[in-house]
Amino acid sequence: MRQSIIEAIIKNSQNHPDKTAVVIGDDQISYKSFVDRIIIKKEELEDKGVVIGDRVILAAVPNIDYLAFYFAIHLIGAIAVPVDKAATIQTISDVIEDVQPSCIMLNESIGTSDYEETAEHDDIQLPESKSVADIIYTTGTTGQAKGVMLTHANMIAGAKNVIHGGNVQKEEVCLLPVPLHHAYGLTTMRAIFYIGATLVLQDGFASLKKTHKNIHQNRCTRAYLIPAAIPLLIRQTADNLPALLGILNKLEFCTAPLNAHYRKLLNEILPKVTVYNSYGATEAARSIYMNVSENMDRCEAVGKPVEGVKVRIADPDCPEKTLAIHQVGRLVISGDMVMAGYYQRPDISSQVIVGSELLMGDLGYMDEAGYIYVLGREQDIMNIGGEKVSPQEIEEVVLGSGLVQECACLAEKDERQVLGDIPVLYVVYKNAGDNQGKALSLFIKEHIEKYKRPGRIVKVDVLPRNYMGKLDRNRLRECLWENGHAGKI
Amino acid sequence: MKEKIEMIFRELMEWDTTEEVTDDMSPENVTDWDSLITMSLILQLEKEFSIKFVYDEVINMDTIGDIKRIVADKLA
Repeated sequence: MRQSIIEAIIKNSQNHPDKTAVVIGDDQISYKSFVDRIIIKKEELEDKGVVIGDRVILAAVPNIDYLAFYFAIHLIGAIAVPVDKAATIQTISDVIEDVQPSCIMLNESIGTSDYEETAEHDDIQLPESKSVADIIYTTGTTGQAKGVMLTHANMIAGAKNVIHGGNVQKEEVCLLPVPLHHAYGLTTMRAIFYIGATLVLQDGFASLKKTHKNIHQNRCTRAYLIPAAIPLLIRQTADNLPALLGILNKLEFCTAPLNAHYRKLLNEILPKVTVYNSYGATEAARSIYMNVSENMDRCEAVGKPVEGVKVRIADPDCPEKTLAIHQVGRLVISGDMVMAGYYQRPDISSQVIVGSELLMGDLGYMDEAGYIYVLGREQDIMNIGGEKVSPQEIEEVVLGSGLVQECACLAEKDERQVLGDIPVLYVVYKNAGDNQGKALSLFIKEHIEKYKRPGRIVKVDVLPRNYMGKLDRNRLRECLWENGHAGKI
Repeated sequence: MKEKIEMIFRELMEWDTTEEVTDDMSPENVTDWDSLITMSLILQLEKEFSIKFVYDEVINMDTIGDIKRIVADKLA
């Protein structure tokens, strides 16, 4: 039983020394050389004075040295604090103030090494499974920035969830085009190394040439994507997504639920590809999985808890009370992947961790077969005349019209004080033309119940998204406030 | 045509007119050139020049120079 991801990597290097661990562009490294590089980086960090328990800030530069430094920190028994490679000085200053690091490794300190790599493997001391390995900064569950502490044991449990939920095999070659300071990228990367598969790392999707080369040259079998990438890839590939994917036959989507429209679209254009949807949080890795291709009759569900994970739906006002099936409440998750707490914030830690359970910020419900449906973040749910309505529910129907490229629904207070909230829909139309608005209104009238219909439809040029491509509803609200609910966002 | 492509790219990047657009620019070496820029560039070029790219063309568009060459070939 491996106690840490670094232990699993070392075991893999002993069992399959020549197997490729990582490919990044033209660089690649075997498991044996990867461990050598980790040991060399460990010595470099120790020379800088890093000792057990220290915090080390590490800019997530997509190269092999970043990965080597990350696991070198774990091997020392220190704590990695990964930050966005494009983080502002203010963001980094805030993190420095919070974690008081003994060492800061920013972009220029994490180059790509160019040397023969051999290192002594004797007397390797492995970290304690219950000790903290990472502090990941997130605004998730509570809405304010804080450091999520993950132990080595949390990481092992998270990796197992990804492997079991997505049926990952060690022979696989996995394309990961998402940043490595975010939970999605980090948890996936750790799972790939835990099982001993091959990681192909890519810095986003801006270059389709690079994506094509990575998939075809490395014979990738699986890719980890975000739902926002679907329209981008379809459009970028001139409607020829199968040509891009080649032999790749598994896709996983996370960070936002894969909506029914995209599930049907992928099922139609990629009939031979198995699509997975996963749901999770920085605080609890990925805990709920769905094989979308086998469950086309449950297009709105995010999935079922993976083995070892328990999910219940709790009364938002009384979390210890479990609600019945189909009743909307707060998602509560428990399992070995649930974080140790927020760094130096016992006040907010105790608000979300009760006993061994993590109270999520999302509302949802469970059906009779145990499938979980997530309606959205508690603060985004609209209250229309007493009915709880998820903005995603309206957005999904609107996306299904085929008239819009993207859309977002926000609540506006009913000035007449009759309905509570009124949904307002912000849309980016697929085509220009005066009749687009009329056609959409007609579609909405035919497909959405009267009380849920948007009070207004506002045409916008683009919707704000965060670096993970996730719709940024807070930024949208701010932009609308600044621009008077019109114009360019 | 080349100037038009540079102008479209400059507008998408929200650069001012003094900013030079060179043929060796690619998502690799231009900060903020993300997948949304690539997609918007493809759409704008198709609209501006009344053309439609096919897959083999799109996967060979890496640098500004590649894009100019592919558009020129389509218009020839």
